[in-house]
Amino acid sequence: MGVETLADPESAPDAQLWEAIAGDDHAAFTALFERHAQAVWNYVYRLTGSWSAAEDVLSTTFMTAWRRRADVVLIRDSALPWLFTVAANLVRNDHRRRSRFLRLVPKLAVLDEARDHAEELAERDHTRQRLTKVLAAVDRLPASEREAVQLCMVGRMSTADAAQLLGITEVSVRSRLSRARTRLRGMTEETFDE
Amino acid sequence: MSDPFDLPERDLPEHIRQAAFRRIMTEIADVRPRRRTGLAPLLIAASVIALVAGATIVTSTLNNKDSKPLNASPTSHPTATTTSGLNSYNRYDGTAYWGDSEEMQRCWAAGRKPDHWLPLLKVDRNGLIALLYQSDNDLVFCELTAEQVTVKTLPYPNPPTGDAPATIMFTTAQGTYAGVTAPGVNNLTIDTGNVVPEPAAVNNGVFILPNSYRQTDQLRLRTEATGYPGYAVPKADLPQPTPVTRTGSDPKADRTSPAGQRLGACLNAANPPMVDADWWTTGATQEVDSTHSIQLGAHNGGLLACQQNNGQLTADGPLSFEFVGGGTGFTAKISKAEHGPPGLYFVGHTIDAQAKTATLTVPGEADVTGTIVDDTFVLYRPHALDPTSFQGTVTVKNAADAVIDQIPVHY
Repeated sequence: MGVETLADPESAPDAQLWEAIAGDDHAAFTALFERHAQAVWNYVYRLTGSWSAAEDVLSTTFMTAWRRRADVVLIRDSALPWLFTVAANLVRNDHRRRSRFLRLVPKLAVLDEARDHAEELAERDHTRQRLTKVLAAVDRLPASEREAVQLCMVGRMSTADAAQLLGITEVSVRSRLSRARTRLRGMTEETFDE
Repeated sequence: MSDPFDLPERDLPEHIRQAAFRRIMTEIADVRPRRRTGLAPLLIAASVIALVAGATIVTSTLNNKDSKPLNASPTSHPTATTTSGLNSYNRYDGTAYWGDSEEMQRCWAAGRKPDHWLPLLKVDRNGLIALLYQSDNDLVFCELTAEQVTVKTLPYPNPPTGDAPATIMFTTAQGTYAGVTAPGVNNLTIDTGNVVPEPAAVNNGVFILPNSYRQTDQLRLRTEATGYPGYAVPKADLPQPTPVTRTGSDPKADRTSPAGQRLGACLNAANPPMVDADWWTTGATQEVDSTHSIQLGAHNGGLLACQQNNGQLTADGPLSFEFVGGGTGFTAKISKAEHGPPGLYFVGHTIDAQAKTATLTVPGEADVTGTIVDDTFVLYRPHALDPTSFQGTVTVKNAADAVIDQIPVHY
């Protein structure tokens, strides 16, 4: 396969960037990073409550994207939902690291017992604890609702943008979010801003 | 109570953006284009499939068959080095001081109990723990898995000089590399030449890259300072993989049956190596067609899916589970041959000993039923469903056809 490079990667849509990245176009990959790095970084922070973890996962997410460039075909216009999914899985896998799968079954996304000092400090933070509980509940949502929550509530994406990314109407996104909030309230006894 | 997602939004600081970008570009520099596998491409919707990014990490409480009480104590308590960038200290749960842990007792039971020892670095990945500690004038490497202990002691060398950012002193068949770093080196990437290189954990003047890739004779060492191409390790300086010191009493898995042979071939080809590969036992099998089969394997609570597709072997695991019921967990994968329609398969594990069958039900479609073999099942559909609208159910039943577990599958 020949290597094709984009003439103007900064203005190319993600799908076009990704095709070029699959052909080893570093400039296209750089453009993708510049476009989404901040969103991924903030997204991971909300998943972990740790800026240092966000920095690490940001790098690993884009390295994973590069590794999988020949295996993955974007079927949506934006790469951001997939990058969010990769980042979330990296965070989740870290959390799952020490437990046997069978022990995990009833308690997904429970945090490790063994943490370094910085993580222990973070763990004491009340916001962090609440977030941990909520994220565990998000993991138990039906996939369609989880997707909307990850994009809009965790990823801070507008419902209009999420609708475009998901290929559904904005009303459907709002509906999924509404159902998700109801479920999350029931599972966590938290309230969620509308 | 406020929205728990109401965390501050920050602009990505330029120095973090640059550090992340530098790390990424260092990693991907001159990596050969990945060869497409028989399973590619995956069709990616936002959260269609829980992609397991890189090496999935699901592991184990280590056995401690060899342990015994010891009174040895560390010589001192080193302070952890601040790490960032290419240093994977945090990524592998790096620990600079770990006390008289069970892990140390297993190391000492397999090797030698020192009077004094200085902990340097411990990392944890994929069910494997690797440690480096100093004992008198020696550097001791110890690698622990559920089934094996590998210990090797070498004289503590002087730090490398010249162009070499590190000296590789220990390697293992599990894809672990360890050694000492040159003064001032706080990050190190080991490039085996045929896959995307990975950064090692660096601390206290030593490094460990745990359960990474199989060793080649063309290793390169890179740091942020040296960049690409880095330092080519002379072949004569590469250590031979350290043989396992002690193996537990658990019998190795059968590799004589057809399923065992399939699993064994897949595990032998896996890169990165699957930890304790010889102990993975066979689970359910799906013969998709004459050239395509899916063979499950299980060990120590983990599950993996081995696919043989037109001669191409792919090991995927240990798997995380996207869907979880009362006693059943499973995940879905989309696979696509180069010249065929995409397929969708569910692989799962159940803890209910009464479970006999698992069935995927999709409205308007024929059910797909699989037999549960050694607590595992695989359900394969010959074509992938529309991943953005798929809804179905996986039902687990016992021998009397009574429902044990029923798990909705929503996309």
